[in-house]
Amino acid sequence: MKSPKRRRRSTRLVLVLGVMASVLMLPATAMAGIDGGCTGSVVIEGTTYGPNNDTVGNPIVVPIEKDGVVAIWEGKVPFDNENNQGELGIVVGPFTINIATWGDANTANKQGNSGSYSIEEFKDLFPVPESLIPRGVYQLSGEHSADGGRCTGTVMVKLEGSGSIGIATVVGAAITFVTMLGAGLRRKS
Amino acid sequence: MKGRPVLGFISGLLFGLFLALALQQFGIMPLTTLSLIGLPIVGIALGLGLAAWAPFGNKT
Repeated sequence: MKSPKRRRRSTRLVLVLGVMASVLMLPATAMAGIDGGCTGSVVIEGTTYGPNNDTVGNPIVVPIEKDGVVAIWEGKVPFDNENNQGELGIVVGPFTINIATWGDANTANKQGNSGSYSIEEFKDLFPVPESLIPRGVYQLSGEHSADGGRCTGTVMVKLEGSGSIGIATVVGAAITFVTMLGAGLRRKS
Repeated sequence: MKGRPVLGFISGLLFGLFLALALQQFGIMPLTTLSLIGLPIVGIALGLGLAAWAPFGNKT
């Protein structure tokens, strides 16, 4: 049978773990698709993705471990598209890391475009071996503006695969969690 | 404080950062301001809270 002192310690530990669990269950923020009337889609390995792929539960899946995958994309704007410019970036905390920019006088006022993008090209952006490219889910944020209007939007992209960084982060979280519990050790007075 | 506030601060900060990275890596939450800034702040608060409360160890 447990002594009252030991029972108190167990109760405190359960309380601490309860607080931690409630923090972990913080819901992800709600994301918005694309504002401004622009439309677009991308086909990766036979699956068509679009502006609705803007949540963690419904991301654009990029199979980074497969070779030779090509993304076929197309996009349209509902306004005059002369003197257009745009940018696309990865959201990292309060910052957005720019990964692509474009701009064109577009005197012909072409309102749509299409093309293809090799995933190999994307992998080459990283100065590390493929196994060390950080996997997981990323929020992409972009905008396109022209004389006739402006569109902004976000989508969610998941780099699929089993990288080694994920395991390292879990080990790091576990070690620092146990260390943090050590802060609750009463000092000898 | 009855516990170890410096240890609580540093370990709480690192725990929050590792947790944010782990959640991102396993596709649970992207690296938004909420996760990358919010979780370390929550970690620091928890670490300092634990140090103030000091629920473990002998009372004498």
